Amino acid sequence: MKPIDLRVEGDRQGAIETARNRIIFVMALFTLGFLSLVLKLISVGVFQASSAAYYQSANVNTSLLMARADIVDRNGVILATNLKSPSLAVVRKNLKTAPEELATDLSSILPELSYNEALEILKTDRNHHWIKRNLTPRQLFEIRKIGDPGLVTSDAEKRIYPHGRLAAHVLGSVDFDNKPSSGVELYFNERLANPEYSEQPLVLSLDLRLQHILNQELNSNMEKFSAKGAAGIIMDVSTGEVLALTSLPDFDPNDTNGPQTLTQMNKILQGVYELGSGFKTFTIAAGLDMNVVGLSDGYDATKPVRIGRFTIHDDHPKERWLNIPEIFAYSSNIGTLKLAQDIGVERQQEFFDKLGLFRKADIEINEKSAPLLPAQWGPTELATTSYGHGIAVTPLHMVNGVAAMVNGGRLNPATLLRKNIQSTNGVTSVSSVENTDTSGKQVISPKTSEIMRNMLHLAVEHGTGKNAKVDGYLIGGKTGTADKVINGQYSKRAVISSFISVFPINQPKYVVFAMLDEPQGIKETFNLRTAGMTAAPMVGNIIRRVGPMMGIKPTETEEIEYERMILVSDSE
Amino acid sequence: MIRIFAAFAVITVIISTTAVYSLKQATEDLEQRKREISSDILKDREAIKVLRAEMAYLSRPERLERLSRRHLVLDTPATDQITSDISELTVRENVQLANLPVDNFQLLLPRQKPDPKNIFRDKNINTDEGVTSVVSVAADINTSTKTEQEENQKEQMSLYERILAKIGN
Repeated sequence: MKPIDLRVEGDRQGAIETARNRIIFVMALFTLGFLSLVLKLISVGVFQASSAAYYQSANVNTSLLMARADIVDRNGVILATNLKSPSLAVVRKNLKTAPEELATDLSSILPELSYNEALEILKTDRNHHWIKRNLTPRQLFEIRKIGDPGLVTSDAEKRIYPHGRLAAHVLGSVDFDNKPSSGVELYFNERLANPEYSEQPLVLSLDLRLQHILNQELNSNMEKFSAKGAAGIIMDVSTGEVLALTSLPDFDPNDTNGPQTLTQMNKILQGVYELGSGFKTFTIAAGLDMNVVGLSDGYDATKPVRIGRFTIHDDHPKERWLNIPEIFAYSSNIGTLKLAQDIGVERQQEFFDKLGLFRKADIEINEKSAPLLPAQWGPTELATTSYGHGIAVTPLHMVNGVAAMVNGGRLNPATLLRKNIQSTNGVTSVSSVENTDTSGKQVISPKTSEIMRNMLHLAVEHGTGKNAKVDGYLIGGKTGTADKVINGQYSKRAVISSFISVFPINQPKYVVFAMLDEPQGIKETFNLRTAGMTAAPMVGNIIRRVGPMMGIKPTETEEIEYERMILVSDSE
Repeated sequence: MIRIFAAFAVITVIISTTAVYSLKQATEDLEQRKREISSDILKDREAIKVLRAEMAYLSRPERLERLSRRHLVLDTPATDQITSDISELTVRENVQLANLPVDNFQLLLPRQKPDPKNIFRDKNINTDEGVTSVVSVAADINTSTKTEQEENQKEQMSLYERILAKIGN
């Protein structure tokens, strides 16, 4: 087909040329327009495949969720977690409904908000005002149903402690803005608040089952002896892991922001007490380790000793010469102080220092007290500190020291984190290696440690700790009854009864310490409030329940070493 | 000539534009789906968190103890109920504990799945009989290719899951 070539001559030619030019011009415009559209289409299709906005919209919720890592116990039971809890606020300039009407609605949805209060909040001058935190899902739904743009809900997170008071003192608590105020929450705040680790829970060394047992026994005994308070701790002797730690009265971390009153402080870490006879363990271990005395040596404990302006008696007087195992088992103050005099001030101080009794205890909690030491260390202090008076330490110091006495002589710092965990590339696994932590500092020789084990065993079998005996388990332990210092004077009425024990004593695994603050004698204990009557049976009960749970096999009673060295056995 | 070229050009433009558009659309759909899935994952995770917290709350030792005292006829075991040795359970004299060498063996672990290729080769060697074995070999080929496919799929699945896990974190 051939295009028809129309040609117009004359005047009209100019007009047609103009028309053609115009058409070309318009077509060029259209072409340009479509070209730009095509270019745009290609650029949209090819180059803007994934804009940053999409990722932001998809990830905006993740940052809010799990702002703080969970805390779990050594078996993975949740101790602290975060749950979403929306808060309600009002933005005044966006309000569309009349405040009066809105106040009526709000007061009907939120039971604790009266009409007048609601009205007051809605009419404040401040542009943004919080109305309520921690809405329930139902309340949230009702408020969204009102649909006023001035009512703003925000997704906050609330820290939840499902077990309530159970491990309150270890965990501590956080305030409204998830700012920690005490406990592990405070100490590990950086780790817990770090978004990088928010998926990995913090694994503590606590065992919730043991924590429960300890808590229950302390509670019931506190009530039984009308004590002001009680505290206890269970520790692994070879690793220093704290398996349970309780201090009563306690607090609910869900409600309150840490301990409210002085009585609620952590007695294990913050309370410093003159713990009494438990200290004899240290003095006698020092004497034996430094070869000041031998096992069969002894001291005359016939008469009370006068030192300075004090006369020192024995609480369980035997009024005769006692050898070292007897001094320990019968808890003789006279014998111990005479031994301390032979050790001397310098060596005694050095030994206490080695046990960490002169500084704050090592544990992952900030709230802990330094020990109260005598201002000067003269002959009087030498004598009194040897049996645990005139020096006030926290129970943790004591437990740590005793653990070192029995585990072969190594002082392991106490820890609240589960040990023998390996973490590689974000995968945590429990290593199969047995707990043979050799990082601890050697404070006494393994030989002395073995002797101390047997001595502690003896004290339970024949001495003051008889009430702690448990059929089938070999227990070693030492009682401690100390007069409380009230207004700078020893009170005759108020005592601290404590019992520190180790089990199974032939192969020590756990140290159990329990104390009662100002227990009162009851009929069952012949109105006595000494540790042998109050704290010792309590620890016995704890061990009776803890033993099978921790898979410790009961043993037939073995021969008790040094038993023959006790001249008058079981005469009381 | 020019017309053919023009027509070709127009068709190419139309096709490519449609292709780009549909690709873009598919991507957006996928993005949308991804967003939905990740928001679902978030929701599920949150639900799991709530459930775990509730689980911890419901399995408080104190509550479990109360419930077990009420519903179970069980009590705390006394230490004499626990024995350290089987010989304590019998009144017979000189109980001998069997100490078989089996005790020294390592723990039995599930065996690794046999490699399908190896099985095939073994079967092939054994084929010294007529038609039946050929049939069985053919069947083996089928099953072996099937298992191979399954294994491939499994590998892909695990990779996919790994990717999902990456995204989820």
